[in-house]
Amino acid sequence: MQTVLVIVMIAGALFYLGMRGYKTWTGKKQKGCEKCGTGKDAIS
Amino acid sequence: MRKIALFGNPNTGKSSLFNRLTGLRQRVGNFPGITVDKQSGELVIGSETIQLIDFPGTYSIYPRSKDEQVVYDVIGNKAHPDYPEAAIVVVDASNLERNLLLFTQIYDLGIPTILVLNMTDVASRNGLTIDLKDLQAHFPQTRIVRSNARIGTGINELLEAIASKELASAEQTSSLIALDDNERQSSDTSARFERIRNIVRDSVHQQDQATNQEFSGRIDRWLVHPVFGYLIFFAILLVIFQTVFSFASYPMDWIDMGFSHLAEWTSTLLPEGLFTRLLTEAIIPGIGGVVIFIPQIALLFFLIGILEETGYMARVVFIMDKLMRPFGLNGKSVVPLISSAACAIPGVMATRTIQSWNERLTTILVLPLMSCSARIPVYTLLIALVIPDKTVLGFLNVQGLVLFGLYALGLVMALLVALVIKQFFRKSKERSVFLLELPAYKSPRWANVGVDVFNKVKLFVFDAGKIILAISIILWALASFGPGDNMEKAARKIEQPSTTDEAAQTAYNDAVTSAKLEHSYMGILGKGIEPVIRPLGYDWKMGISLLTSFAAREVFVGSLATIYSVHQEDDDPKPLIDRLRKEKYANGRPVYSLASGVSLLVFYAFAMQCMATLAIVKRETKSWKWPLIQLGYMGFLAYLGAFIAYQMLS
Repeated sequence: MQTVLVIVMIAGALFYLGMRGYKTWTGKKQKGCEKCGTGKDAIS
Repeated sequence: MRKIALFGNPNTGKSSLFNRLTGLRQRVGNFPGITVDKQSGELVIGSETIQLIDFPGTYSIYPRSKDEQVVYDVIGNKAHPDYPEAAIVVVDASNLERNLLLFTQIYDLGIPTILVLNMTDVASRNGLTIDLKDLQAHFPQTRIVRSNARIGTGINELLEAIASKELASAEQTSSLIALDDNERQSSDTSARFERIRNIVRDSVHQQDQATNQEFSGRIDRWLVHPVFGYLIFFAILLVIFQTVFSFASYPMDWIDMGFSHLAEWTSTLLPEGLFTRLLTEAIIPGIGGVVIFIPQIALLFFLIGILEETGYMARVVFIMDKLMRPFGLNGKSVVPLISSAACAIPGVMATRTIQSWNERLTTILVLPLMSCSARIPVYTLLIALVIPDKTVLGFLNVQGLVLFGLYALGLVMALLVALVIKQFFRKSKERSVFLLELPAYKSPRWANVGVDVFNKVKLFVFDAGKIILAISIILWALASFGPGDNMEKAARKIEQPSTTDEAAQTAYNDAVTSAKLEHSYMGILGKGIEPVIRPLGYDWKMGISLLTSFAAREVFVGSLATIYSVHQEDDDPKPLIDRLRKEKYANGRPVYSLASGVSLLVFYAFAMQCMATLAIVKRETKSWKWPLIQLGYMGFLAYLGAFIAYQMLS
């Protein structure tokens, strides 16, 4: 059971980073700084 | 849905009003150029939903920079999707003469308009009274409302005006002049100012001479003084960094210890297994690596928020202008550069106010050299690790001084690179002017400062936190597994001590940990890059953290926390800093020495490790060429700087 949970979490982390990288690369949903949020409000 | 546009000069409280009306939290400050693109929000009055569009501040409908052109583009094209049914023009009631230019331009185009006399508190402190009846007589088709958006007065009256639907359009008495017809624009502006002067003479009365403006002027004699201005600014910076270092260290220690104990408690509570290890070696240290920086980030943004709110930042922009020009930067580069001390992304967007493309590009290229808040976690960890906690001159903390020095290093390097670009690559013949209105000093609105700090912390924890957590999980997997049974074989090769002596057991455990890690996937990867980073004084574990932080700098700390938690045989998990201090090479030399620590600090000061900034630079320059050049030159500077630092100190 523990092993299954670990596999799911690793797959989830890889998927999340992949999607995040893809969106940054293509400019989709890039609104301001992803870390501190500064500038998010300055883009319509 | 009705569309209503919000126009106004810069720094008239337009964004504060927008936030009041829509309930949104757009950034505000006593500082021009905060809004550089239009922003849309919904305003609900009764059963009607209205779209409110906040445009960048502009002095005239005729633009002088890219950000200001948005207004002209929308107003000049009735087919534009954002063309409004009505407009709210926000003016600074304490300076009607200058503010009414934009209003008359919009009013004369025949757009139904509400005139908001904002900052009425400043006007009355300056001894000004405005005769509304008289003003109304000059603009019979407009509805005039007094307000103070900072505290919310006049908002109900404004809502009534918007809801009434009785907004009549004035007769269209002028049409837009072509953008390239400077001569007609100039004569039109002169004629308007002549008319406005007459209106102001009739409607505005000066009663009291002891004005707030005079008070601001008296303070400014010192704060924008050619010598004392700089000294005071650097003293303020020094105090900020000292404060960040001194006060934040206590809660940081508590958080660090708290997470160490949480990991320990979790490991005793849950049954042994892979998931328990993932929790205690990756997830808990990963989250701890994010949460620990909340005190510093909150404190820094709190202090910067106060400087912005009071109006001091506008003075900083003013005095820095002189410093910038010899380096080929425009005075308007100062706002982006100062914004970049928090984050390079709004800085890059703020360059839209710079008219000259060469100067704008130079500013964009050097902006990420300014030390942003993402560097704080890396700086503070490394400074605490390798810089002695001593005081000099009886009151200056050396660690705080080094932090100050790193910020100064970023600025100096940004200026030098700008100079090189100016001299050798992009000589600009354009002469640009920089006009800045110094706002009157105001007491900070604590709610604004608090909300800003809260939003920054929230986004850091939830946005950066997710990346750090995901990377921590992957690093843990890479460090916990290896090809075949290589890790077990390597561990078996270590000879078990024949005695039960505690020191011998600890040495044995350390050796097993190290052997397992070296033969894991991460070890193989790290060893692969070690030859490249060895001249900088880094071992392969630092190399792994360096690699992961190319997505975002602050991941460095979370990565270290994960790497050093994996395979920890010790029953008592120690705070990260203690573990790093004890990390030694085979010959007993500390891995984190002064030389390797300073080398890392220099590397992080110069390296372009932020995917989000690269993406924004691509968007603003409309090409991948410039972000790639930026990545290349900053990487080169980082490597060279770190190499020199290590070779000099080792």
